[in-house]
Amino acid sequence: MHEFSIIQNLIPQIEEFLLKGNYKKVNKILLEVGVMSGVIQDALEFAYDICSKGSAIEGAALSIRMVPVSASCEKCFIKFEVHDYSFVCPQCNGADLKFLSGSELTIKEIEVEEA
Amino acid sequence: MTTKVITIDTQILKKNEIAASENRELFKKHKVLAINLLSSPGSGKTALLVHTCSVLKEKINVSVTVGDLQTEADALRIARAGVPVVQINTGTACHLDAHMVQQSLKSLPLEQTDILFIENVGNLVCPATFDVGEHLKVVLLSVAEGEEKPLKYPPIFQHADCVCINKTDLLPHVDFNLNQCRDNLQRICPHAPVFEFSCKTGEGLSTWYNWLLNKWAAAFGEAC
Repeated sequence: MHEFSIIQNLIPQIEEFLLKGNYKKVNKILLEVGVMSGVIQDALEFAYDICSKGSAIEGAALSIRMVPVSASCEKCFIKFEVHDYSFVCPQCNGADLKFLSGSELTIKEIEVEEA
Repeated sequence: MTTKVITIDTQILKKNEIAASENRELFKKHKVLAINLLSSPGSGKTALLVHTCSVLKEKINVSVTVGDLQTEADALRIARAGVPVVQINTGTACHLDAHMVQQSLKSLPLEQTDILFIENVGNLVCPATFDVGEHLKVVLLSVAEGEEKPLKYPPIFQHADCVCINKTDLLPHVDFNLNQCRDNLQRICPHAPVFEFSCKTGEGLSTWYNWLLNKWAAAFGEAC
């Protein structure tokens, strides 16, 4: 349900961007969402459909790129992708990990129409 | 009609991130260790804070900010432990965000606080996404909930700095496999210490108190 809060944070940022750049409208919005961000793609799309209605970004296509969890081991320094939420190094079984991706919640790019 | 693609690369929750940084600065200024306490509804967050505040207040200064959708019930319970407490009513929101916490801090004596507990809204999903400026995340679960909780809600457990298993006095009465729960936690958050206790009987709580005091001493205080 917090996906609504996230979309309510997204919309004013895009609206402000349109206003500042004097763009006519936004056609596409690309978000990057980490698998570990705690956000569900379907719920985000549902919240977007409802909240964007009546706003300056109504009609813009929302595209969500899910980002897998990746980490590096602080002991043997290998980089790897985390699958099935198994947070141990596949080489040495160590648990001292540095996370490289997977918690993103980012507005990556937008496609705008110039005025 | 000309279209162009613009790279933005900005946090969606930028406003929350800014407020969380401001909270962090405020905690640093007043040497406050801020702890975000997370669990599902009914795991015993408030009971744990009532016990913890009663004991810790003899050694250090403790304050609490507590979030619920409605009612002052939790703040009233914690106030009876004799520590400053402020209630946040989120209305319909399923989590605390950094702005809500920031507002609540205005009603707390931060300059006379060593540890601030932020009792989040009971929910194992949404609060994981919102940084409120805390130093540590503590995730609580109770034996009445099932040993598979860490596997069902990995983001919140993965971010935990410690995990508490409460209501151990109920173990003889419920089908909770404690060893399996420990294994599940080892898989999701191998870095996090696990404390097992009963707020009802008080058994096991002293290790948790020592962990808190050590964390506070390491961050701001003197050795206890």
